Amino acid sequence: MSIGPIIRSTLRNPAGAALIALQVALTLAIIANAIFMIDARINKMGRETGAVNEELLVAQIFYFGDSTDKKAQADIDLRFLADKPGVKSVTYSSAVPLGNSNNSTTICYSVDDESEENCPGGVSIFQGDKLVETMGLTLIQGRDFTPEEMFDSESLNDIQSSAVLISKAVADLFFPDGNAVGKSLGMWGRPITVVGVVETLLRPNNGATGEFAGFSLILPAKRTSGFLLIRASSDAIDGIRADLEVDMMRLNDKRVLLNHRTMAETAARAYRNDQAMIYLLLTVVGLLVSVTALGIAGLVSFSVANRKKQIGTRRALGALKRDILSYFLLENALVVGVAVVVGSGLAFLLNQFLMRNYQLPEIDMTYIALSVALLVAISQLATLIPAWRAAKVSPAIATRTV
Amino acid sequence: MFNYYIKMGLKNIRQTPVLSSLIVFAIALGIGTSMTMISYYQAMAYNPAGAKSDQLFSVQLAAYGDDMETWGDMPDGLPRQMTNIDSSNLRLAANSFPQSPLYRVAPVIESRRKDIAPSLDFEGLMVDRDFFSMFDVEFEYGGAWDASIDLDPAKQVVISSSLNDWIFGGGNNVGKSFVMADGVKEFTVVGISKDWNPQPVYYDLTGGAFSQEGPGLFLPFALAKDLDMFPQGNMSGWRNANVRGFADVLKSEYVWQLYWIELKTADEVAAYKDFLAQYAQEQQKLGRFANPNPRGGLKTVQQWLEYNEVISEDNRVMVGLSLLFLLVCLVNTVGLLMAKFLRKMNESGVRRALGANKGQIFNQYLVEVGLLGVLGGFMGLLLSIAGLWGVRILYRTDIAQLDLSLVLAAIGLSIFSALLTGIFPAYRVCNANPSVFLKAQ
Repeated sequence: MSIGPIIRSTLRNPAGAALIALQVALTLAIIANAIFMIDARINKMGRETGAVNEELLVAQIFYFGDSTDKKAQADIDLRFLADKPGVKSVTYSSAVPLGNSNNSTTICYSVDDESEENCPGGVSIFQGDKLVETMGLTLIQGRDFTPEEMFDSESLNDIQSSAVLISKAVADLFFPDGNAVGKSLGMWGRPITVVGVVETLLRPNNGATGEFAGFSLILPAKRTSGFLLIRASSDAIDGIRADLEVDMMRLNDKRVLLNHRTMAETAARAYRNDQAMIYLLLTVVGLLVSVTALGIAGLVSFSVANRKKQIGTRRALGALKRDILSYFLLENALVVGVAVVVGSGLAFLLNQFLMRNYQLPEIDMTYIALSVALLVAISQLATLIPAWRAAKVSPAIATRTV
Repeated sequence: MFNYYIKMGLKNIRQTPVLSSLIVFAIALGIGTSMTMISYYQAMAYNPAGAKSDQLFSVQLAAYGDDMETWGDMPDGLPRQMTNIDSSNLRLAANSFPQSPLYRVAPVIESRRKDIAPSLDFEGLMVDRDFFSMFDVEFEYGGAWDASIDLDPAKQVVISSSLNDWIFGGGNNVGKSFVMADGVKEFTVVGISKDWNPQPVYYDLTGGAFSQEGPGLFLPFALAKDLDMFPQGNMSGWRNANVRGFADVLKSEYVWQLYWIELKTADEVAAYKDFLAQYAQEQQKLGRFANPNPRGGLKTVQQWLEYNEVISEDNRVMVGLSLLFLLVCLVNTVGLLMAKFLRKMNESGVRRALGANKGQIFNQYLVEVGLLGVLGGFMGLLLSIAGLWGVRILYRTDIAQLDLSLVLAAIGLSIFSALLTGIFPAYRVCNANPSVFLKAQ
């Protein structure tokens, strides 16, 4: 089939084709950027927290009345929980990944100099005993804290032992040569020494993005308040969770147990707005593609109805059904072909606009290519049904109505 | 004539059911999507302070630093919150403007009814007496505590209607007392306020701009030390403090409180600005900090809402995308209208030949498009009701409800955009040479 007649007939009524092309181009610009944003959110939500999400229970306890010795009670609680079948490890931590409650500070290469070159990183601080074991963090260099390094503290910025664990993201920033263990840093005007590096430990605040999201540091402070962490085997965790409130109240009823969630639920909660944005964007993409597909189907139907006589004549002159079908498909492909070229440009422009006004990165070609493929496929499909009806036009029509 | 056009329009719509319903569907989707996102945006952009928006000011101080130029990433270099040292000084300063510091606490409250476990669900606000008049908190019974309590604190409290129900089971309980905050403290109720929960929670945006429940109780700020309760929310600082208890926080350079003042005239605003600058410089002289430019800042409620980015980036992006979506739907509609009108071309050819002028043909088609717009508007309205329901579920919020302005806007926007899309196709049709179509018959 030659393209010439198709182009000529399209050019005789350019407004219709131009409108389809404009619609497809705009659709492409929007869905390419929307898919790009959806993928970014999915990646964000898929980040490792560093902890064993499904095996970790997080809860908070609040006391009322002055009658309780909270430290002694915490010891009783921890011992009780540790003895429950299925529990692997239990402790208190000052913070949990994506748990929102955040204490952060800047750390420096050395103690004396607080200039920005010397203090390039802000880190979130986690305090607690047995955090590596309880959260299930992966130690990739050095060692965990020794019992001698551990000190008791409920205060948020207390250093009584210089040993710290840092996340790999922090290690990479301060020690690009890969040897962080044994090195010294400055924090709160005091020297700290890196004893080990953990693979990942996501910060408590969801707002942190990119590599900053992983800037964390662990202090060897044994706590008896904050977040109660219970690590249990995945078959036991539901039972432990169901009993937790009753268990804690039986040990001491002058308190309230709040927000008990698994680490996975804590993360899902932190990502609620991202999840909402994904759904909204998906809805827009779905509706947009449907509107465009229906619009194309409607216009092709109209054009088929208008050209019944020509189609009948062509069929009478020997054109096969296949030829009619491919005429409409090719016509659509040509219009959409022009549209995706224009649309790719528009997608870039829209991305540039979003980059300038919002904190969005530059769009990758893949997303545009993916959207082009999606739109070409959808518009060919939308053409297929009315074009099939055109192919079934009887050659006799040509003789009947003229 | 108009009635006749409407009749013809309805007839034409019935005669081309597929194209007509595609057009209505496209308009409805565009309107539904954009109205959903716009009304959600509107709910976030709402300024709950109303007439007081320009008279209530959030006070900020550049009273920090060891030669630090800025505070965090705030472009104006001012911290959002204030130290207890500063707010305590400001509230006792010699001026007669209504003002109040503010921070949140989460006390454990015990009910006076039987068999009800103590609750942490009611949030407390630590404020001065002026807070109630400044923020138009209305009372069901009693009123604010006496002005003397702000200087010489007593265990008095204003509770919300909901908390009143929870503690006492409702009724006028002014003068009665209940126990909270570590059990040993008994507080006397001096006022019972109507439930108060402005959205966005402009008085304190540090814990998120929207909340399901408003504050359950208001406590005298002057009780801060006696109450010994850590604040809820954000706390940050530039100078390390060895914090082992709440008393250390009160003395520290940590910022964790908010400060509001009511200034009615431009003169008052100017006077207070001068006072703040002077205050910051005095504090610098006392050696608390070394700031290159110790100063104060005042922001109206509207400025405060924008400064705290109540409307998130996501909301703005979605409004933009939904408007682009509407644009695509309209382009789609233009194409479909062209097809629809071209089909009716010979009919208008006959009308032209019988003496109708171009303008009349044009008007007739626009009336038909307007009808499609009305249909699309109503359908779009239904879609935006469904859309807002979805958004409320997604963002777990009560805001963004259907209201009259949404109804009017949806239908108005729909008719307007339908007419806009109709102009080009109608123009094409009425400019066609009638003889061509007469011959084709």
